Amino acid sequence: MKGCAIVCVVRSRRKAVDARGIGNAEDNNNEILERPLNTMPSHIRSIQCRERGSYRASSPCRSHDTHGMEGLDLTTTDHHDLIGGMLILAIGVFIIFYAQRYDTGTLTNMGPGYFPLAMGFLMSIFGLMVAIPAFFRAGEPIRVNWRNCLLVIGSLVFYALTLRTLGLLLSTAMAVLISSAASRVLTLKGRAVLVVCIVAVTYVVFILGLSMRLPVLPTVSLTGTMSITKLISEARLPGEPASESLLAGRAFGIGDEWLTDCYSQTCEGGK
Amino acid sequence: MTSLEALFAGLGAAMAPEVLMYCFFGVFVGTLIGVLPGIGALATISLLLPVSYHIPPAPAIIMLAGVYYGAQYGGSTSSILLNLPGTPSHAVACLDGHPMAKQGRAAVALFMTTIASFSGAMIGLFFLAFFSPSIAEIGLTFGAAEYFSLMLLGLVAASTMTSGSTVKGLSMVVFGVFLGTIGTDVNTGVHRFHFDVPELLDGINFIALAMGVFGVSEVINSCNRKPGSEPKERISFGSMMPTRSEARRSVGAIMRGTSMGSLLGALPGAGPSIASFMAYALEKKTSKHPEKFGHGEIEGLMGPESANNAASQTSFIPTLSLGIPGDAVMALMMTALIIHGIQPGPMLIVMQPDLFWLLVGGFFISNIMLLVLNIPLIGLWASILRIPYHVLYPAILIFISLGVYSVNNSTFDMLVVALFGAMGYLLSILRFDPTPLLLGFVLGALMESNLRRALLISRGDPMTFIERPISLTIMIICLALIVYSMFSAIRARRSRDAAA
Repeated sequence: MKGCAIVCVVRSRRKAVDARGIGNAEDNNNEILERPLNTMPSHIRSIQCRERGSYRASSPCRSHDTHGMEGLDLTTTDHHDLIGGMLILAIGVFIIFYAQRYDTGTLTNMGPGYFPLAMGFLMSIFGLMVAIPAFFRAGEPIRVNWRNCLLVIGSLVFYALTLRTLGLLLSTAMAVLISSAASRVLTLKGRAVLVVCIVAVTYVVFILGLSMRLPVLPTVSLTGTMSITKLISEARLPGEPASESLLAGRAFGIGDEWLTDCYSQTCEGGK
Repeated sequence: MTSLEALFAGLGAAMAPEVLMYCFFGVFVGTLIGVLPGIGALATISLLLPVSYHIPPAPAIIMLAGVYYGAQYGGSTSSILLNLPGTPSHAVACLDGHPMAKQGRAAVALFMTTIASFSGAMIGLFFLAFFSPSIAEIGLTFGAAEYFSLMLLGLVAASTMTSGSTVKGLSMVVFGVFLGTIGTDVNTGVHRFHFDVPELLDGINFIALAMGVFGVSEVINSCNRKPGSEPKERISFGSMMPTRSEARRSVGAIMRGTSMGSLLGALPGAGPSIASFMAYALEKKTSKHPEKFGHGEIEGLMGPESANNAASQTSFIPTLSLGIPGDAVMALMMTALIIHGIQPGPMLIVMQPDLFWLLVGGFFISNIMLLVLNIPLIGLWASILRIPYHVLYPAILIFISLGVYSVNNSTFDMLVVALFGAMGYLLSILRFDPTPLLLGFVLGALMESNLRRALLISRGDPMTFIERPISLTIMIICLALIVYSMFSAIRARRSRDAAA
């Protein structure tokens, strides 16, 4: 009997998904809610289901049917909440241990460690409260779009690491190339046009418009990576405890008032 | 009548060309990003925050608010035409708006939503103008204990009402509060959780956090969406007029939606999305033909649309009068104010009434501009939907990165964006709503210092939160919210099990 009930749930879920046209990101042109599902309150999701006369109307607390259709067979545990809860628990435990190095103080006169410690305990408890019920509850498999995630995050990291050395134009172009690889629709020509347009707009807005302090062209020859470290080490004043990135900024001539500003902050912080 | 005079003075001041210019820029950008699915008001406002440094405070806030309002006006366009909500608070507009478009009445729907948005916003703004000063006066009597309880209420409300399960929401709030404690402790000067990274001594850059969690994860989630199918219908001015019966029914719906929206917007933790959902439920309940909902019933469009606009106005009430933001967008607004050296709170309205009324005047003008922008230009906004997302998102990523860089000229902050982008995507995979996290991050430090102060005053006696009547009331509401949401979750599960 129980198995029957589960099948029934699967069917009606599938119906809900069909009705709302949530499909694979690639091959469905009626893709209402493909993006917003993650951002939309589940109340609204559930009202949507209700409107289409499907099952699963009144759950304000759980949100299913986010992803593609083929993976709708239920797993024995709700992995979303199980993993999520464990992660929360892990962070909470980490905070508790890390906060030990700070003085807790008393309730009247709290030390710097009191509040974070309390947050750590709260997180651990909430993590357990999320994870334990999820273990005994049916759920759907998790779907991750690794490709998009890696390309987008990768392009951001690349951009951050190369902006000062490769200069705005080159670095932007390459970052756009990386991130635009996540789209399978773009042709080679389209991609080239896109790169040129974005680089041009960036230059006009940020350099001409907002006069941002950034090297536009590469500050080092691409083969001579050694010279970066050399420049950085030369930028260090005697006895100065400045960080690498600070010195790098100075080495490449980025904003003196910013440097002093940043430097004084670091020093204040160090006291 | 003094407040009316002050309002006119504020309106006059907001007529300055500089204010008008930034106001127009704000509402234009806001409508644009509202129309385009895949870019939200949160990401855009955090993108514009660094730009606002170079602008005087009042125009800066008016510009940012314009973005928020514009997104509320524009978001329904893609809901109606493509069945794809432009912003989360317009998801409900799909239900009856898109069927109307299918019946060839898209122009009517678009015109009427603009009217509903404008009416809702104007009434909401009225509440903002006339209730904030009195709320601020009450706020002046608050001590640290009251503030702590109020912030707690805001966080609890945000996690129980926004979405998903209460415990998941609460854990996000607490995580946000923890992230807020990273950096130098203001009370003792001790560096906390900086992991020996000098850049973390000042704490995590709020803009980087917001853009990562909302902007980047949104991009990852939607970057291979196909371009929307073109709206087929030509939208002309003549085809916009509703039928007489529709116009009559809309008035009632707008009134109900506005009341619902104004009330929910002013409460901490609620905001436009919840307001529009509740307004839809209310319309359906009060309608004589609930079975027609979902097939292009105009009340189902008018109620929610006026509600989310009213809520976006009244959500400024707690932010401006008490200094406690009710949702993530308001948290950004508060950050913008603080960056400009203005501490939002009861003292703001008492000490700087000119500034407050200038803001109100600016908000008023933004809404007039939006009305003007939206009605004749509906066709233009609709055609923007043809821009495919795969052209937009690489540009969005670059703008996010450079926007964050420009705050501190720091590439470290760009890496923070990438890190929180990955985290935001992880949260969306695991179906955690990150909005409470942002609110927790902003309120965390404030909450900690108020907690410390309250306990210092009471000599370590936690009963201070219960002995003071206002604080006690707020605490009881908090507790009631938690109990209610747990109870309704259990009930929902029971009824689902019964159905299965």
